[in-house]
Amino acid sequence: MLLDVADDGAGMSEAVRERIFEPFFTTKPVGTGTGLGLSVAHGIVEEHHGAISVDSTPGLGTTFHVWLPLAAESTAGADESGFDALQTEEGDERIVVVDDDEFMRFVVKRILLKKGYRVTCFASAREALLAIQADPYGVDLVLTDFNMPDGSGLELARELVALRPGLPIIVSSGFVDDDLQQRAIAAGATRILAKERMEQLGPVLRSVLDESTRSG
Amino acid sequence: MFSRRQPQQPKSIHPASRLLLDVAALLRSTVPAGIHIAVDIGPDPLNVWVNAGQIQQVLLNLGVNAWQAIQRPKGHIKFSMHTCQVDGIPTAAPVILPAGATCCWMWPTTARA
Repeated sequence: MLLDVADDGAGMSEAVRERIFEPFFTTKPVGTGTGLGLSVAHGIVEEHHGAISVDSTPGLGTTFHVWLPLAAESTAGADESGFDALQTEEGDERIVVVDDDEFMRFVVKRILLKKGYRVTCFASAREALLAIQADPYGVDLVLTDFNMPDGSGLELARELVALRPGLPIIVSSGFVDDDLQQRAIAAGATRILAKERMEQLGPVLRSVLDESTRSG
Repeated sequence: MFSRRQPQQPKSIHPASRLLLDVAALLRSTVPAGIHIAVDIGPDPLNVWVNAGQIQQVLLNLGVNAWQAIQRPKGHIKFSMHTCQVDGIPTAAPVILPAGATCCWMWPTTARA
């Protein structure tokens, strides 16, 4: 089947269209990212044995097609839940979200607010650090992006741990490997979260908070 | 790619309409009122075997991209779903698109859409 997302926006030139699914490709200036990224979107759809295609006309708009195989005939047991299925790990802790990407701030904030958390977002490590320096015990957990133009999430983690030892810090990144894992833990991060696995955000957040309560 | 390969995420059966409606509602609650969001779920219930969180993340990303592409106070975003025939595509073979489509990029997979 096809799921289409169409807009009547600016459209894309053929040169842009041919490259949009490449990793790191963006037409936007640094600091205004495209969130999940179309290359990651492609990876997810491919894992579902589907495909993504695009039609675009400059000046008229763009339509993305997401092709997915239909489930087997039986409709019994259809799971009515979507994002709502991920709403079980609730809490009311104060979460600081740091990401230079507007889309990620938007998605993460929506998910966490729905779970009951109190959420404050910052677009840079510097802004977040200033706010937390002003009130180090006004936050229960920091979720920061790894790769940001004005200072990495690891730098921020180092500063925060020095400022407030024991503060739970989750570093999120689009690209997680063993090297990053080790560097993040060395910098004082509690956990690493892969951005394309954002559905793990709730469980990871809850378990990190629970662990910090037990050890603190 | 560069991220470490993670184990397959759990999948279950979901009505595609529900996935689209959730995402459209989430987008509606955030974009300016001048951006009109339409959802056409068609007449038939269509179920897909997916990780709902991941697929909704993809659709939401496309929705946000669409919003950013509009670059004007007013515009339209339309989510729609329908069946199509893409039978028995062998991997890496060309894909025949519906009439009128001018696809420029496609990852053919072994899919029965």
